[in-house]
Amino acid sequence: MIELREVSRIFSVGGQEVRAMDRISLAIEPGEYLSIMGPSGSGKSTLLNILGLLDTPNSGSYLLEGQDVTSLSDRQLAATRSRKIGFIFQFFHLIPRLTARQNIELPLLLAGVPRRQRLERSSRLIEAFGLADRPHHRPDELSGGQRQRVAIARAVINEPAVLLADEPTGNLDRSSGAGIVELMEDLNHRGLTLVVVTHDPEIGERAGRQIRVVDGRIVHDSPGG
Amino acid sequence: MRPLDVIAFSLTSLGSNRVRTLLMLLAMSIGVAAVVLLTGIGNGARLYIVDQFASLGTNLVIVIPGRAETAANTPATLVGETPRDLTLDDAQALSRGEPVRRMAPINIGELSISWRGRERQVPLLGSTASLLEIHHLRLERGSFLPEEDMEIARPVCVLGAKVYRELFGRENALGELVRLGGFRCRVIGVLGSEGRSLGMDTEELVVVPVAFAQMLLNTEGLFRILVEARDPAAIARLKTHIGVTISKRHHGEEDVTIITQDSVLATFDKIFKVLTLTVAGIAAISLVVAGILIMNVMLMAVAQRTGEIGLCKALGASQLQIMVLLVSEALLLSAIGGLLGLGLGFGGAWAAVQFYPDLQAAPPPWAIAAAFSTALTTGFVFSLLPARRAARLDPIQALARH
Ligand SMILES: Nc1ncnc2c1ncn2[C@@H]1O[C@H](COP(=O)(O)OP(=O)(O)OP(=O)(O)O)[C@@H](O)[C@H]1O
Ligand SMILES: [Mg+2]
Repeated sequence: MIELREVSRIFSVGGQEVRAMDRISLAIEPGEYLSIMGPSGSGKSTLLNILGLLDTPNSGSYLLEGQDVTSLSDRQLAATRSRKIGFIFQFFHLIPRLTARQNIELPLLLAGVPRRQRLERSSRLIEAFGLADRPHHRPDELSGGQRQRVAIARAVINEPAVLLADEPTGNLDRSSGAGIVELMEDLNHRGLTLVVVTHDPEIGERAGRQIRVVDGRIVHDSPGG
Repeated sequence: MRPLDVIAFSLTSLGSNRVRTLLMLLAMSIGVAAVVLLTGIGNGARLYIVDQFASLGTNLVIVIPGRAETAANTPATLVGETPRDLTLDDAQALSRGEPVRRMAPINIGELSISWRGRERQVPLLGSTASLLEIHHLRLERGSFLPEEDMEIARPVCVLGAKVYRELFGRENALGELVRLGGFRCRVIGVLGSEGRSLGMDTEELVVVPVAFAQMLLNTEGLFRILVEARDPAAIARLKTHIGVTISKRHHGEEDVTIITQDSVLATFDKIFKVLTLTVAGIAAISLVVAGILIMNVMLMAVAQRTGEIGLCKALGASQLQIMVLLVSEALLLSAIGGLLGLGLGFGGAWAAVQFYPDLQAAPPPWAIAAAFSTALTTGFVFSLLPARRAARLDPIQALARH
């Protein structure tokens, strides 16, 4: 479903080249549960951003569901992100002035989905994610775990093909982190492809497939754990 | 995104930073209010002038000695000749014609008037009985100038309301003898106090028969002759009549200027329209200032909301969508500010009318439309730059700066 071929991402900082991704090839099948680990600065986030179409490679090609997405226009990229990619972040990135429900509905709002459908879909997720008593609260009235649930609900409301999580538990205590991991795994069991970048081996080792990145290269790939 | 959703989303964003929003609304609304109010006052002044002329009677034609338009070019002025005076005989001749309804010769000057030791400098106006009608004067008591041959220098006078008050207080003036210049003359009437027509404060006038005025002022000529046409359709014929009559009497030279109320009115109308446009333009500058403020505040807002913009991009918003969102926000702000400004402007105009009922300060429709669309245009134009900057943000960096 996802196929990277010899993808490189090079940043130049003060005239010096930093190879954040060095000819990485990677294929991910639908429904896979993949964790990406590695030392700080090894290129994990860069890899995830490329997968999530937030960044474009300097070289190599990227096929997403059979479509080459390396040379799409801004509008096409946005549309693809909207339909196929769900993102969650370490710092949640909820909009503080919007309620939990409004935050969850944001991708639908941007995609121009009518209000009634938005309400229907967000209600289902609010129910399923244990946020039923909090839909009208604003982010600062929610706990960290609840915030990340809202963020996950927002990421999956468009029914994407893949959920990309960059340190989703990095800002949470152990028990709410565990809750978040369970929630994501639950979504994976129902068929959602899941890619998690993490520093926490305990979380990383739960994944069906584990990848280790060092200096922009995949040094270890263990299909099936 | 659906238009209603865009508006709702913009409103939440405007609502989340009240101070910023209020500041921009204030700037916008003051700009719009200034345009509305100033054009309203300008327009009111124009209507006031037009009204004043209408009350004078629009069938009036004014004959002034000398050719105003071509004065500089005639051989007569080149050799230093002064134009021929208009005389009472000219006036007499002008009054005999089919298109003429009424005629009043006018002489003006300044003299001292005194009664029992009280003395005052007053403008003197010499004319005939017809002036009362032609100039829409109102007589408070007594009678106006007698209807008789205008060559008769009968020593009588009609006092303006203020002159009467200052000389006589509350005492009876009718029949009293006053001293006017070097002559004694009898008071036969007093004018009403509201008679105020363009260029002359009738409250302060002393009106005497024209021949008497010529004697007092020691002149043969007339200041001007007012001729009233039978009806508006007769004005053109009246002008020819005047031209022909004068040139016949002045050895073939038509050495007078003929002014119709229409032309004066048109000139004033034009002047005030330009004036109104000018103040509107000046006021519009404040709208541009408001626009620059909007741009600055929006640039700040874009910097503040970098994370949010990056997020929207990560969630599937295109550059165009981000631009639309931010521009809509500015447009919404301008529209609300514009509406507030219209309210404020009309409120101001209303207040102006309360204070000066004479000045019907009514903002013209074009000014309302112009002010509002200028507000929207400024909002639009000045939000483009911040919106473009936002649209081009790199989502990764935008999110990282959280
Ligand atoms: N926008 C950028 N400009 C310049 N260099 C960058 C940029 N983004 C990333 N890099 C560099 O690329 C390398 C990989 O960065 P990346 O953020 O992918 O690492 P990471 O594995 O996610 O690290 P961490 O675990 O600390 O999050 C780093 O050396 C980083 O300095
Ligand atoms: Mg990282």
